[in-house]
Amino acid sequence: MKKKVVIAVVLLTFAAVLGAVFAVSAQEAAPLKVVYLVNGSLGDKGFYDSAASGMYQMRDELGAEIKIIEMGRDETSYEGNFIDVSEQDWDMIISGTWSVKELAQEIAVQFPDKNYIFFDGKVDYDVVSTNNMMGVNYLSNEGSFMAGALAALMLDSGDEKIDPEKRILGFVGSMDSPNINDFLVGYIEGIKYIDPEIKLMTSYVGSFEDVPKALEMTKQLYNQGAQIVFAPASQSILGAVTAAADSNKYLIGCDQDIWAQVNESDPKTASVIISSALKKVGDSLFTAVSGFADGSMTADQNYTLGLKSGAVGLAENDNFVAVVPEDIRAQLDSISEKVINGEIVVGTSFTMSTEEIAQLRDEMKP
Amino acid sequence: MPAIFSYIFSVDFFFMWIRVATPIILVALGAVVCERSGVVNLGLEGTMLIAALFGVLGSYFGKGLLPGFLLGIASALVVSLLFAFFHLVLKANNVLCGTAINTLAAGLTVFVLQMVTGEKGTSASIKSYSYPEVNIPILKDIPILGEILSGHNLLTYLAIVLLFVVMFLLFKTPLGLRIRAVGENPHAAESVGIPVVRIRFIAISICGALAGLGGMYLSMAYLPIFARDMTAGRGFISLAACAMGRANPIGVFVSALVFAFFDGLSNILQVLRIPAEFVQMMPYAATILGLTIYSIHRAHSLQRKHS
Repeated sequence: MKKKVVIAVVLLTFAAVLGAVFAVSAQEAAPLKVVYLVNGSLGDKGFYDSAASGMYQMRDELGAEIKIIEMGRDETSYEGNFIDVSEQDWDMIISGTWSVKELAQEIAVQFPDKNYIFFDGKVDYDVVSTNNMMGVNYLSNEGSFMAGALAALMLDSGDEKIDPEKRILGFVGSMDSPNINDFLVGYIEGIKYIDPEIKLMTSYVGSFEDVPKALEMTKQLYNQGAQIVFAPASQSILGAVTAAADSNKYLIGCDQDIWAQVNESDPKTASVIISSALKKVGDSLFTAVSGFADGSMTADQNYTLGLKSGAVGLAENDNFVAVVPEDIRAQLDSISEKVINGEIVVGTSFTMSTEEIAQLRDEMKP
Repeated sequence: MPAIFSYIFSVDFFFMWIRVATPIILVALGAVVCERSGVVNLGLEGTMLIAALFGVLGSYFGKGLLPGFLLGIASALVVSLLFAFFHLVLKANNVLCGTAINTLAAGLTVFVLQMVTGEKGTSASIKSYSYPEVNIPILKDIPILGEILSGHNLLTYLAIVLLFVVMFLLFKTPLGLRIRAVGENPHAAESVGIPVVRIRFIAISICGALAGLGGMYLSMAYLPIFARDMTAGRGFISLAACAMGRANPIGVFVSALVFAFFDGLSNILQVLRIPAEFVQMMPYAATILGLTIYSIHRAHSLQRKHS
């Protein structure tokens, strides 16, 4: 009997010690909890997927507990989602793009104890006086400036897919909205920097999903003489890629390295994508969250990332190296340096009025 | 201004016009059969989307075009029968059933897509097959006309053939007569022993198969991939074309061409100095205008009949 009691006591003590050890270690490794509210759906092969890749990186490298909530395009559901996650115990609540900016800022003020990251736009600290929202914004215009320079330089590369007599380039965007127009403004300035005589035709799909429409519009640009098209067209970019492959003309992708993605399943189609104007949203979110965790970045300021930080720029993949001649690549490098050291200042759509953008766009039309 | 005309009267534009019109013609013909039987099938958009996905998946798993075709049509039939069952047997409102089908399709396609490919946006990572393009002998050698009419996708020519098939079916066969009788006056039809529900089941199935072809045209002819929500309102435009064409195959064919014309126009007009939003509005404005003209015309002819 006594023996049994002793054993029981020993076992209990053992269990208690074990439990305590586990509890302590669990406390030590209390994972960082990060949630990302997507104001759209994943699978766009671009912006949102890139942001999600940053989330997965946090999970894998920081051991963070992550959650990605796809809110779809129903804007009426956004506020409820923001309030829900703000009432839960997330350490960091991430959202982005201009369409949720005002809502995200309002929520941040309502929940001053929570921390937020807002990306792809500047946080307005007159509104967020609670200083609990970090802004991460990108100089997309610098990346697309490089795309414009690349397209303009390629006109004289002597490539067989390009007719140097036709000094026309193309642009197909998903929506006539500030963030897409930032790409447009940079692209136009990049083209003008190389040769102010080059004309540019612009189209907007008017939808994020209508892939056949993106295909038709891109095809029309090529039919009407565009030699290279730049396509910040969100998910419908694959329509633009198909159009380029059908027309046997070059295309410049956007946000993510589209060539690398298409090359896996269809190398022949992918070969027309000479580069992409990258916007490394995922990398920057990872940096922002880890910076916030170790205290090197704070939630009371905007961080602006451009060519200098490597967050935007051209995708210099195998196809880029294969298609773009060496001297053009060297020229691009020196242009990139000039942008980085401030010799070239690229304009942005965010400081322009709608009329000014429309005027710029119309001036470029042939 | 003259620049517009040089764009419109180009071979490229006419070729594109036919390409843009094809899915609308196919689906609108389906809507005609349904409408004639007295059922407005609002679920066409969803049926298209589901067939677009399953066509791609069928060709991927079956490693050929035929399995894709079969699975695409089969999936469209299943969805249509589901619609028919709820609407005809359980007597649910057809607007609700159609909306339910569309909502279901939007979610289901993404879910299945992710299960198979691991991606939520497009099927670009799997190898699927497309319907071939057909060069018509003799015709293709005629200058201009050949460039416009030859070299289209197999489904485009099939759409033209189906136009006549649907006409024949509706106006020359006993089944067509029954479909029309059921649509005109179900009670009268029933009183002479026509099984109304069964005839409508058949009409909805035919409609589903046609909508399935229209959906597969998007993912296996227009583009080599399926992308979420890629139908982007084409099912509804087809319904409008059906209404504007007064459910008459030829009228519907012409209406579909009108819509496609404005859609095609919106693809090229932006290149000129016309605001993007105005251009994007045009196909839909044309729809509303068309329906208005149609109903005014109808009101007039009714008045004449009564006076």
